[in-house]
Amino acid sequence: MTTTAYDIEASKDTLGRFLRDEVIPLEKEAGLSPDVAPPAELRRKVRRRAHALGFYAADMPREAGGGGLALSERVLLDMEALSHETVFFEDVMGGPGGPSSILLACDERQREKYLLPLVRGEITTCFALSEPEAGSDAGGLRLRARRTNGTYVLNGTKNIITNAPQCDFAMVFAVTDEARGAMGGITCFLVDKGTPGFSVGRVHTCMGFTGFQGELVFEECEVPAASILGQEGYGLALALDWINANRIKIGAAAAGLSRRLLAASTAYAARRRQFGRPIGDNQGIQWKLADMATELFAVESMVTRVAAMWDRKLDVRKEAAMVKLYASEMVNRAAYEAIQIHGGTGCLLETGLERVARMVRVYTIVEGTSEIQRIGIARRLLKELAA
Amino acid sequence: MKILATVKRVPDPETSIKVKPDGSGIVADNIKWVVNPFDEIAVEESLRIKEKVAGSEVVLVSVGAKVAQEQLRTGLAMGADRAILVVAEDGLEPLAVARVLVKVIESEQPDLVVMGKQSIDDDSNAVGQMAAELLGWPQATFASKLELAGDQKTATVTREVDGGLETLSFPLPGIVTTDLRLNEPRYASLPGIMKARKKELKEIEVGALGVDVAPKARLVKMEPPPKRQAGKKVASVEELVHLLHTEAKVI
Repeated sequence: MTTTAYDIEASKDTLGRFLRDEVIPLEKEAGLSPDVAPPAELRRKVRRRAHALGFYAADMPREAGGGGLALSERVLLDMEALSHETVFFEDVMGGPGGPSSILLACDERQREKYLLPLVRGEITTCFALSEPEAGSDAGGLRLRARRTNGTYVLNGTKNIITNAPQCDFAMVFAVTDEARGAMGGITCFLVDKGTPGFSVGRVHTCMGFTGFQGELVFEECEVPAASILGQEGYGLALALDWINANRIKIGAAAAGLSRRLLAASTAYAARRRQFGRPIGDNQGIQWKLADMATELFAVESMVTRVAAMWDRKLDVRKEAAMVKLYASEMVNRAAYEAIQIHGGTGCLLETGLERVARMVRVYTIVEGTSEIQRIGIARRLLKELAA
Repeated sequence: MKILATVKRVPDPETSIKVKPDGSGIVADNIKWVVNPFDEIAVEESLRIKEKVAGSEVVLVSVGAKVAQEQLRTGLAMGADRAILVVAEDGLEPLAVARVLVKVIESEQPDLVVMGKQSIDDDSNAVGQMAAELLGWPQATFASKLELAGDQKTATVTREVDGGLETLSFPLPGIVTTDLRLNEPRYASLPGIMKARKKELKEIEVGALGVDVAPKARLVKMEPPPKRQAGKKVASVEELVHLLHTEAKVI
């Protein structure tokens, strides 16, 4: 069953009410810090409710318990969700610890154990690729999976992994064939928390939030061959498709956050009086607002267009990189200008603007840095020319 | 049992309403439209009865412009079974709406009609009472609690009246109008919204019902409330008392 624009409009309404009337009050009642990952139990509560309302895992297939929405529909909801401020932002639509299309490669046993409860919001995961020596260069992975009699033994460390501290199981990318490296030598293992030899290392204090990111440490951690997701050597191939959708979702998140920044800045420019008139009467401020709004509109347009291309199963590698690059840099400019328009007030924690500025800084880094995106875009241009 | 709930399309209470410069009405462009909040409570109450009494059906009815389909879809997405839209000009007078409702009630023959105590746009608070009178049915307005007897033949309603509560009991069929504290309406979930598109939404032209809906009154003028005057600071209690006496003339 396909959805119409009206369905999505109506859903955005429900989403806004859910956030305003339930999620944000829950955060206030529990006295949660806006900068620290909420307790796992409360996060589960929000996820379960968001799943019941059809938001959590909205774009996962129905057979897997998801909402069956197209990506072009989900991004509209992402934009709405991120235009509200809440520390539960990962638990409403689902973030890096949530349902992931990579896990559609699960076999029957893995599906029951991991995929279905994950989609229902009962458990969470993490995408454990980055290591101290390997980020952009996945070929530099050091974490080894040594094959023994029908089992694999993992040794190595992952770091700055989102949801590592709270996840119930991890998707661990490990080297199974050193000679092949990134070209078929990397395998994805599904490893349960509590497996002997597997522990959470440091929990990172980040410029954005504390408690969401951490290290995973593997010391002679033995896992059965049945814990391989898909096939041995296909780890990176699984991640490739997924990463394009994630880049588009980052664009949607950037747009949602920018809406918040623009709304706050416009209201402040109209209200704040200096030299006997609102600062919004000054062209210097007007230009900032106009640029923020124009760039936001550009990103919204890019996100919806590329998401629609994705839904039509077109190759979006170049366009997804463009969305990620432009949107992540745009939202950082918007955060900078929003604080500038607010002056000293913008530096106060209570306005929430500096939090957005801290939160979005990582957007130009995760899922491929701006530099990696530019390389990818340019290489595709040159390849297209040669073809 | 069959429950009929009303759904009126009204401006979002959080929208800022502007009166047209000529005073002929409100500026309808660019405002968000929602289900009248009291009707939302009526839909919720009907759904709760449906969940308790097996085999129940909840039918929604709206009287107004074709666009009110959106609000009926919202009610269907909350969980109602089907909807009827009587297509008419917006702004019918309460008696006209009551007459239209009576026609729908006569053809649907519900056991219970639940409706908002008033719509938040015109605030007439009249249609429920008028419809009950025209049908000769019992009515309980401003309900803060609604209970049905085990055999679903009798309803007991707690009403919020000035200074206290009043409990009424009456045989069904009857009309109940809802107050704010009756329940907290659920949201239309995304799966609910998608299911709602497959549900029946029947349209009836008001002319086909053969009732008199001609207005009896004429809207002369609409005016926004006067702008609030800026406050005044006084230096002493004596000055305050003096001004309250001479200027505000309240003491």
